[in-house]
Amino acid sequence: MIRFQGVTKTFEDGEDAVTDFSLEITKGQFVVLIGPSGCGKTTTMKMINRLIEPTKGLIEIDGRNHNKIPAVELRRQIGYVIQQVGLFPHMTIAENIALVPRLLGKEGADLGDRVDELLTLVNLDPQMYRERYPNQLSGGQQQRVGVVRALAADPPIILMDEPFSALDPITREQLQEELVRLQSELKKTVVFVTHDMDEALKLADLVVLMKDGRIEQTAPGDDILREPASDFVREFIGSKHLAQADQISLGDITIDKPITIEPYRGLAEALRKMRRHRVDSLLVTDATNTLLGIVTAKDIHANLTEKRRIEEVMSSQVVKVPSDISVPDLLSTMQEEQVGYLPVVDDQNKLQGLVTRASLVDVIAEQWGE
Amino acid sequence: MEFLSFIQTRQAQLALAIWEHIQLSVIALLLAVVVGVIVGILLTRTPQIASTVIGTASVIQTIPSLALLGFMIPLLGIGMVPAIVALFLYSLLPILRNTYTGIQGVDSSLIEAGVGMGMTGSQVLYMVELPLALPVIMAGIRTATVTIIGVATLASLIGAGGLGDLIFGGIAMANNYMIFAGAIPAAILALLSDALLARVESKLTPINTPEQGGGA
Repeated sequence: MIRFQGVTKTFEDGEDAVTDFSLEITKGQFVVLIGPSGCGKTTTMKMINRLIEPTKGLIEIDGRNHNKIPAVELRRQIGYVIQQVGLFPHMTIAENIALVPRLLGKEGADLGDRVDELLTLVNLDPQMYRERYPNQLSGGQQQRVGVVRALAADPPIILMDEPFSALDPITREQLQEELVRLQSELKKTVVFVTHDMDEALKLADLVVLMKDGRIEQTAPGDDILREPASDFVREFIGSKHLAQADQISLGDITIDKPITIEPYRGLAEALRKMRRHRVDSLLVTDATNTLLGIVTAKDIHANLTEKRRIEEVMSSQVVKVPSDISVPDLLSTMQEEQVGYLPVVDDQNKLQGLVTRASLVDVIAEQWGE
Repeated sequence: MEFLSFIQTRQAQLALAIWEHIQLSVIALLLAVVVGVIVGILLTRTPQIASTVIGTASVIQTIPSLALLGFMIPLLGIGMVPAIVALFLYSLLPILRNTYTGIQGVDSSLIEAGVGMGMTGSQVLYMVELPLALPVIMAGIRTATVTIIGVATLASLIGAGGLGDLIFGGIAMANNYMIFAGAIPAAILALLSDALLARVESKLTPINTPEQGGGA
């Protein structure tokens, strides 16, 4: 759909705004260009509709070199939404929305229907707003109109240049949600510029993180959070997001060296070990660390009068989980089996660790405390 | 009452003077509007020479009106043509300057929106820049109009006719009625045209043209 191939933009002052930028955007993809100010994200976007011409490299739209398409014609096929909204104050809302279709030579009643349809799409009552002037609308309503104005001629590509950053946080969130809904219906190819990571994560299919005119990382938002490609990315994302993404891993909640006992030991010794480590059960393992069973304080008390060994009283029916289990699966096993602890074993049944309710609570508390 | 009978006896002369006055003013004004608006627009495309051109127009404006009319005699002789040229030059500045500043003052984000939506250069001019600069341009035209109607009374001195004939004739003959017969219509003309242009201006300006260009 849109393909950047080694695109470089050098401004008159000799500084590179964008350097050797290559990216492929597929049809219907919602791509967010993000980065600190001056990273070249807006320049990159404006090269798509030739508001800025690349110095070097090639941009293709549907396989056509976009330099070969007359700029005016190209722009009429690409919706454009800007931060300052840019509604024309001397035109009514309807006139503003119908502008690009009119530039394309469309007139008549159809156009009026289209305006109403678009206003309805963003929950603005056409009866009420059609004939109003932009300054009679709130900032959020104005940008809703700004968004549908870009949709009016049904262009396959929409460019959005920080469209919500001038809005208050509540309105911004509303518009982001409306945009998500619109996109799920309309499936446009969207290139969206922002400096707000929350916004990018909420909207993007693909996040392109830029720094000093170059791509630092291109990945779905979740992957960027999980595996930041560099320290810069990590820093840009911020600790807030990293903590969110830093999902609790099995390692975090597992006790590496659970208290174990060998099967040939006596019951009194087991009891002493429990008391010393303040636990109510012991895992039974042999010399090769293979899990044989579990013995609880109750088992021992029931048999304490007789001289018996652990292997005689332990229960070998242990609920255990493999070491590659996911945390959610582990939690649901714990729930279903009504157990307070789960030994983790490898594929040869060798004990790897132990998850207990207490170890879970510790980790969760730690996460919340951050 | 004597004044009214004076007017009655001089009816034909008065009508001619008013007609000449209107002719002088309207022709000079139209020229100034056409040239001033076009040059003003061109200057917004070449801002590097804007200050030079506007500076030159200001210099012309600072020449006393009578002196400017006087300059015309050696250059163009006497009569209507040199008077119209002088009036034109004199009224050029407010129109030129207001056209330039009016268009320069259009919110750049609106121009970017227009260009980004696929307007051609002239569409941006006709659909965005001119409509939004119109109140400022009209204010310049009103200033120019009132100035022209006033200065046109002096055009009589270089033989262009108009209401100045009556005023200066009245002064020479110490005839107050004659002075009034020239001065009062001149004042009424100025007031009427100003009021008329104000109406036009508000008609052309949507009620809701905001001070702010959008945003949050």
